[in-house]
Amino acid sequence: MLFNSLHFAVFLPCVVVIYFATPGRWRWMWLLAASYYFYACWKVEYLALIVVSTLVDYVVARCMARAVAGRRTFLLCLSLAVNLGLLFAFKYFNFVNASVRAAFGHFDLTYSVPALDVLLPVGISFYTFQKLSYTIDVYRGKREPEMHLGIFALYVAYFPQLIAGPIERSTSLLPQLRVVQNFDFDRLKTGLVLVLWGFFQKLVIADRMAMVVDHVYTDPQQTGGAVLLIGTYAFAFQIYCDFAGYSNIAIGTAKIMGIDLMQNFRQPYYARSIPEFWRRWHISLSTWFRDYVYIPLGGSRVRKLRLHINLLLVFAVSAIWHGAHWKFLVWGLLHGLYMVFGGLTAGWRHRCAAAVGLDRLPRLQRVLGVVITFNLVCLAWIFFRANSISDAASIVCNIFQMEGLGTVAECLTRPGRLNEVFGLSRTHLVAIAAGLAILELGHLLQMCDRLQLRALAAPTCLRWLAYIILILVIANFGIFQNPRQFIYFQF
Amino acid sequence: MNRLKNPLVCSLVFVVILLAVFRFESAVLDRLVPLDQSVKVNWIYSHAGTFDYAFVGSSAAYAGIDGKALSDTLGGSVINLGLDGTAHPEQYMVLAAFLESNDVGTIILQVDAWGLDENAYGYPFHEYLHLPYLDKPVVAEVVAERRGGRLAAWKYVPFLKYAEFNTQIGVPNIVHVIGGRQPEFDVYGSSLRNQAFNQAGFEALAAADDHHSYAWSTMRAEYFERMLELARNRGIPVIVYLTPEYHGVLQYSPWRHQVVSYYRETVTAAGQTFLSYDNDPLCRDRLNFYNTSHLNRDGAGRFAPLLAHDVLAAVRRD
Repeated sequence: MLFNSLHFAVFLPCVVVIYFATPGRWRWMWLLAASYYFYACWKVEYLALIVVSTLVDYVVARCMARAVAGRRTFLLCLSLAVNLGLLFAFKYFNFVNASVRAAFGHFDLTYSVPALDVLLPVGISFYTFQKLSYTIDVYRGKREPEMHLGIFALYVAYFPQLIAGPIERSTSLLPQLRVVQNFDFDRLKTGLVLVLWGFFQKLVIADRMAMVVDHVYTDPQQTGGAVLLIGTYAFAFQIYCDFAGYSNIAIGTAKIMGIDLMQNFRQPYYARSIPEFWRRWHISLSTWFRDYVYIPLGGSRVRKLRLHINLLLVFAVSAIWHGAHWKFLVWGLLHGLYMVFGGLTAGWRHRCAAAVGLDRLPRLQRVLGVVITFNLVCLAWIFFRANSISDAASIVCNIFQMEGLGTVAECLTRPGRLNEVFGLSRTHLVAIAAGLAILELGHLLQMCDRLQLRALAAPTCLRWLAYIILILVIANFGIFQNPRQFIYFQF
Repeated sequence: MNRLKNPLVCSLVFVVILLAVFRFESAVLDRLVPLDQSVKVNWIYSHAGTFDYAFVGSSAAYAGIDGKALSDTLGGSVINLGLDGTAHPEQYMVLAAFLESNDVGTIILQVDAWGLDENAYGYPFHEYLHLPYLDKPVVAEVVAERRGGRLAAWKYVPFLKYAEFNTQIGVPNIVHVIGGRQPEFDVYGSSLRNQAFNQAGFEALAAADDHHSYAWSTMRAEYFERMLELARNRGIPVIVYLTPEYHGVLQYSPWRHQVVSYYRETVTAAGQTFLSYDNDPLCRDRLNFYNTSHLNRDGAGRFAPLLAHDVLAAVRRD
């Protein structure tokens, strides 16, 4: 069931109304049933997978609480083996198998392990990591094991964030699931505004940008550098609005039911450096890797060489988490290299800035930082979006050759050319421009507390006017035909 | 304002205002969309007059009828109601709606051998083009037949039709009107193409493995028969012609004979005229076509006197 489907438009109000109509102590049952139904809408067979792995972690965590040190480690390893084993079987086996077969083939050796004919269970990477954080927290003694199987199952399968996060921590979500929430009109309004904003990001911007990106990336070898550059910028906004849109719908939906999920994005393209970008992009995953991989490896309290290796390792693992393909690994390692290179050249860059007098112009320095970071991120996005590493390499080459500027200029004067080159009509172009302007207005509002307070204190009629305009923009410019799946559903 | 603090009242007031805004925008678009005369459907529905000859059909009529040449030869006013990528249901709807506000002397229906095949030619029903015209009874009737209960939603939920198809109708039409987009068709409603024969397309068709499967659409056939019935009820003579096809392709249509027989027998049984140009030299020269089933501008120019001759003969006979 997609958030941007009629099915969900009927499902959500039903769930919310029945949720608040149900006596507090039974609500978990209703939410769990709704969450399992939500998941079963994709493929009912995979419900068994989530149920079994939930049971394993529930039992393991309870046994862990009573166990002595050595046995606790064994139980943690058991949980890791089950969770990561399932993830490996469904997500990585075929990739590893194909890679090994290719390597064997290279040396003319026979290799006869067949590929698994399985479909990747939607959301498996997300709920696996959510469960792992719980088991590790219990192992570390950071929290007691959850005794209520139903509440724990709901923690794993809570439908707003089941498919693509935010990856919640047990310390935050589990206690909230235990509290009986009363209906709160203000929370409903806040939640609905977030849902609306999410739909705007997804339907108006992301899905329209997808048209440009799909068109441009279809045949990159034959496409000019300038066109590819615009296509890559479009992808940067597509993936951001797609994923942030999903997160906002998830956070808003949960908020309506009285549950606060963690913020997943904070205007990431305003980051002035790559480390800052990762503090603003997919925050729930970045902090997961920080807490459960980076810090256990020693964090920043290790020697420089070790630190750099750790950084590369964390980004490599994070990349592979995204998808079983070498191109994701290149994407992740590029970010790892940015971090390492950024760390190595920090002093030199400060001296350069001082030498040219940039340190006396902090605003310009900030803008330069944002522009450079955004372009570095876009360079890495090429590997994320391209169909293969060789395609990505040719896109990078073409972009640096910067051919096709004339084609882009032609598109501005000839609408027919705009359609040929970018797959867009003039209406789409108008919608994209208007959409990006509203998006930036939203960002401004989110970044400036003073503006936010003024907006909240604005008369009801003004706030309603803003909501109605947003709804009208979605109704007029959102893409409703053949709804597209959210990009992160594939992970 | 104090009453707005009550959640229920507040929500109700907001929803009512929102619906009113949608209702208003819907009404505005209902008026603005038909102004976009670059859309053939809007152009057709905007007519109210008298025509001696009305041509109805799919892309083969849209691109293959030389309105000027036919008007000159036939000695009467001609309008081409042919619509790209349409099957008989949509053609019936447009013809019936057109006849509500226009007088037509003779209806000339273009048919082709693949028009009843649901396998190879999906011919999506372009309901979105007709949604601003749901107040026309025949449009509402056919849309309901094709799309069922969704008609009620489009009709009674304000703005839903424009939201659902917003990449095709609504704002795009306004942009076209403001931008002054010119129609692709001429004053007769035809869009003649100056294209050479698509040899690669022909070769691909010849190389295709499966030339035999034909999913006969009873529904499309029913709408064809309804067109004949509509004309009979209004006392308008109908001439049905089989669109000229490049003869080289006929061998790959083993089902063709059966389809043509259906059309010929149905038309003859209705007491109307059926015309075919399969054996005419026109179909032997690929220079007359831009693909195997569509005449180009030169071909349409050569076809016009042939068709006019037969049409005049049929009209005189009647």
